[in-house]
Amino acid sequence: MLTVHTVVRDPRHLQILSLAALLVYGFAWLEWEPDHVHATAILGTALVAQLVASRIVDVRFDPRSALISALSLCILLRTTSPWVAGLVAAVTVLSKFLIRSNGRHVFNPSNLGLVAALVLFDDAWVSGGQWGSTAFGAFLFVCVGMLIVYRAERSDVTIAFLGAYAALLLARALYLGDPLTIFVHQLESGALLLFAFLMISDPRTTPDSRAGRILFASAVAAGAYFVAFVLYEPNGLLYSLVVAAPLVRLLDHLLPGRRFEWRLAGTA
Amino acid sequence: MKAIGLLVLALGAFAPSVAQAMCGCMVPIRPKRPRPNQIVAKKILNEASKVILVRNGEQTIMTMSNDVITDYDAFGLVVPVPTVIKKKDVRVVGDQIFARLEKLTNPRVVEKWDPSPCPGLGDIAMAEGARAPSVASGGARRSRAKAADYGVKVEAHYSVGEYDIAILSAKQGAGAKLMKWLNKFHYAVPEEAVPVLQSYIKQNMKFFVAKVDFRKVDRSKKRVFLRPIQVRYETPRFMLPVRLGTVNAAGPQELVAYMLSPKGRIEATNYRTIKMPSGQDLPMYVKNDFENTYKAIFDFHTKKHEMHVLFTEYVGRGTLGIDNYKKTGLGWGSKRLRNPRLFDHFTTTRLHFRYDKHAFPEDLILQETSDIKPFNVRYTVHHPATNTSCPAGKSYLDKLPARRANEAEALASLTGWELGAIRGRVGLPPTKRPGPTPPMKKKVKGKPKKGLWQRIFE
Repeated sequence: MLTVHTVVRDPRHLQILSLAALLVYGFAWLEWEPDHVHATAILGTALVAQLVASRIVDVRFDPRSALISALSLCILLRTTSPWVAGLVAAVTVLSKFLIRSNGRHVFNPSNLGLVAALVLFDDAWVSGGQWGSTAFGAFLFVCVGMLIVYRAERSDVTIAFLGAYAALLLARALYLGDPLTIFVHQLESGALLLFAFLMISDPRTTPDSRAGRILFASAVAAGAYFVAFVLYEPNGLLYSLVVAAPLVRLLDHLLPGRRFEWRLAGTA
Repeated sequence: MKAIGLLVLALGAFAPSVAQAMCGCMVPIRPKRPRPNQIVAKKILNEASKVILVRNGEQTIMTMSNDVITDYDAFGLVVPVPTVIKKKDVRVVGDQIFARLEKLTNPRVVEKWDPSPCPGLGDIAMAEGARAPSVASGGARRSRAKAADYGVKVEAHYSVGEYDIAILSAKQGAGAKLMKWLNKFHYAVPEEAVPVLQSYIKQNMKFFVAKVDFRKVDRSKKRVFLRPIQVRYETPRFMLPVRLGTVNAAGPQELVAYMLSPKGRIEATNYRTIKMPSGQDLPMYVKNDFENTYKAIFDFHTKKHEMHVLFTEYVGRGTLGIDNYKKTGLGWGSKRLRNPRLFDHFTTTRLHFRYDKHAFPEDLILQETSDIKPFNVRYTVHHPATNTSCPAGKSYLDKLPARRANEAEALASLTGWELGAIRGRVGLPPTKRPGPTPPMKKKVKGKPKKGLWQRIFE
């Protein structure tokens, strides 16, 4: 039964609220250009796709995960075409039902949707700089993010990822003799913090064991560094996570742990 | 030299004192009847460095505008580039392209004339407006320089007018050899530049050195115009180096970058890029001093964001024309380009920002988006109707103070100027008429007065 207690305890509700707040912050304060048609296309298609797919596989319709994916797409996906927006939302939600292994979906849905958009469509991009980089914004992100991952018991993935990525950036700065202002500026990226706290931390697409998660997070950090500073492509974080996702199955096989289920924090 | 990505090294012990200069000439035009008229700002970029970046696949063509005032007879430009440059990849071009781009993309004021509210009477006010094409003057006297033997193996060494260009081969351009080479030939490398150059060297960037001999340049006028250098290279790395530009600087630098892409608008991925606020109705008097007004708008918004953002001032697709596209470097090396619409799918983006090493510690990393929505900074001023001697005219005149008040507020929120002073200039009392004890209000500054929901849904 849905009570205030259950609403507050489920980390997905906190995530939905946080994503909605970030969306409002972006349009109201960061001067993103609002596009209501796109937002409608994304939200509508995501929920319809979830409904239809749930009926086909005969499971209860639960809009929460679709909402999280849709809000993430509203924040990150940029395109001039509402058709592309809707199509990406459909791919995002359906990937959970169609690409599965060992009883669960393989890819973080919005991550796969964004990479599919970038690879398949000319008319899609992600504006990595849309958050700017101010210390205050970063601080806020960290506080809210820590709350969410703590609730979802996945703070180890986030911390391991940020630690590994920061170590690589620091090593690069020291090797090049760059001032540490560059290192700090690279860490103050809203896109990086959003990815760390609200994407890679997805408990359903990360390894079951702590050791597995730390290895996974480090691999994603290394991959992201490679894409950004060797291939010189933007959006290294997204590509790296998509490529690393199939590794989760392997890591679970080598380092088994207790599988995560969406249960209320603090209950059995 | 306030040129991005370039390092100016004086031949001598001291760095040159430099400043920017640009000449513009205004030609007033009086149209015969009232119709919307555009006043394009001019001379707002005198203090800014200018660069053109064309991105086509993995090819980048960079054109750097160089304006210098200096006492030294010679100095050198050191240009970092991601790959080895061959002689055929560097050339000197005419400087008209910058003036043309500026004229096309500058912010503007649109004049509109209110129709007469009285039926049957036309408005007989004469329209007055000024169009201001800027004409960059100056140019270097052509003469040949002797190729000097620096004792370093260079891939190519040739002179074009005032430039003596040495392109360092891959081996010599990398590593500590560059520093040795520069020091050997008495280029005084400022201390602050050394770590930046070292960083670029470690990132496998290459260099070419363009030595400028002022004795080959027309120094009869105080301001000297050097012709722009254009260089092309292939690399997946789409970036704009700004770090070297902060080395010589006493304070923040200003930069205008014109960027072309076949995909659409270009933005930075490691800094926020936002559009300059545009579209407001402003008080009439602004049109007579639009340059200073826009400078104030730019200054105010730069301060508001603490110099952490880049402003997009123009986005336009297919607006340059084949001649201008070719001057940016497109079609370089092609014999004859018959199709005048060959490059019309290219979108021009103008980015304008102020920077220093604190606000912009890293070089800009750029990306092409597929956004081709046209954008241009423009504001509107409204000439009131003059024939108002009818009942409808009275009601029209009664509404004018409220419109002037809105225009004054819009100007105050754009520029940070004191609202009372603006209201005074448009003939309104400095404060609003006192009603029944209005609450204390803060002066209008900072963000425009929009509620939260307005900001989301507008």
